Amino acid sequence: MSTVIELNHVTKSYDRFELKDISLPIKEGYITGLIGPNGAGKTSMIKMIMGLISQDQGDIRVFGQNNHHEQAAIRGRIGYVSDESFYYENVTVKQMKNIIAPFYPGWDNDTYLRFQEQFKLSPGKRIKDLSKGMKIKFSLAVALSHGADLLIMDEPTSGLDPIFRREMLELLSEHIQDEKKSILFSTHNTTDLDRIADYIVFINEGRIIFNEMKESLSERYLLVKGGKELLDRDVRQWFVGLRENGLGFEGLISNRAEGERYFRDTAICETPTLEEIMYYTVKGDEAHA
Amino acid sequence: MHNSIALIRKDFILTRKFALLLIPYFVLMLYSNAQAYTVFSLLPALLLLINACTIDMQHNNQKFLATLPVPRQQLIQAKYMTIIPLSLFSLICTLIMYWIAVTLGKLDDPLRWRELGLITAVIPLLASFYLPLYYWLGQKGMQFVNVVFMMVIMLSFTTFGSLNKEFPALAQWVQNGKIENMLLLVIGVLAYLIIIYASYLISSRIYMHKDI
Repeated sequence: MSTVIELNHVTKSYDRFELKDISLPIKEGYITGLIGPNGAGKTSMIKMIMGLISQDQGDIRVFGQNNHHEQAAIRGRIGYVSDESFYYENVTVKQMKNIIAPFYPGWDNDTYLRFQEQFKLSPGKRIKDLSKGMKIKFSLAVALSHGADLLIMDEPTSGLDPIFRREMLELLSEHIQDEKKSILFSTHNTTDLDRIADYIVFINEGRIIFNEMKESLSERYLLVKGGKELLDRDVRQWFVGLRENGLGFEGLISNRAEGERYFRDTAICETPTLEEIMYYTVKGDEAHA
Repeated sequence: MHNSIALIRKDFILTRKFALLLIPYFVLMLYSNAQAYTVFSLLPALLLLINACTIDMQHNNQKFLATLPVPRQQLIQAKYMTIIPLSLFSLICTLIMYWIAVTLGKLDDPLRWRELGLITAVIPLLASFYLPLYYWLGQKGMQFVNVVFMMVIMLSFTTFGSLNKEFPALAQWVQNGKIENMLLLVIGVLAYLIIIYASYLISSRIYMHKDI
């Protein structure tokens, strides 16, 4: 299975934040969800992949090519959608499209017009007069109109109404049908990824916590709910994160087999959602405290 | 080259409306000081350049440019190349203004084309000081750079008046086309080209690895 993006020992330092020794392969032909709390480093990682910021150390390869040496060729095959609009505000949708199209040899105007119609984008409307959701729709129409092999989307669903959000997720699922297209999708909204992602990359405080197939997460993690009497010092150590209240406890275990063996008959054992995995991993220590 | 043309075209689309504001400028200049028409070519090109640069820097637009399938080097090249059509645009506007002034009887002397050419040639030179500062200071320092640069342009207006006294050889060439010191001319042209090229190299060095 080939990789579409490869980060090798990538490090980037800011005043109060650091992406530390990130090594990560993103598989070709799949939707990879990038999750993590605010400030975890998702956007910085995406910006490094896009060549918007330079890493201090390490090497990033996209389509097997170094992302700094082959900037133009790589970006020609990427469709980038950001949660913040970066288009010229005072031009109309049509003018903006006319500015963008000549840069992409694979631009398909019929496809663009189809999406313009589908997303109800008014060609004469100024970019600044579009709502946040409409701006994201425009970005998506552009990204899907030049035959991008890789879609990189930074929080694309924020600001979208639930109907279009579902519509967009369906579009993305359709987009990767030919198995040569790939999508990297960063979001806070883990339910979006529950629906469409094949792989999940979890990043927290500048470190990769895991990069796994979504299905294997349910084989690995277990959510346990039970009475406090089940917890002793050794048992507590099994939990990635634990929340206790007057009635009992709820916690996440990363060794499902062991957890099920111990708690099967004494507590409620459930498969955690992505949100629960994220919550307990990030807040684990606080919950313990 | 195709990308550079697309980038220059983009600048023209973005500054189209701003260019319309130049019509009252030329009308005002025509009525107030038509005799000094050669100097008027300076302002439109530089104002349009500043406007294009300002638009590129606002609202995350640098992010848009940096995600296009164009090497950063080419983004800078295109910005420097934009100066040429902008200068030509300025020159054409000035020539039209001259023609109108002659038709209306406000001017009756022949076109001072050498003076006009010289002043038009100053446009890339002034832009060579502006662009590295623009790339260096980015969005935060842009307002300051624009204000300072506007002052420099205004100063240039008055400086051209005293150029004859400071450089008599240049004044002679402007008046009768005679070149007495060829070496001085070669040195001048070389210095001109070196300044523009050095400016381009500095801008490239600043922008190539800049985090956006």
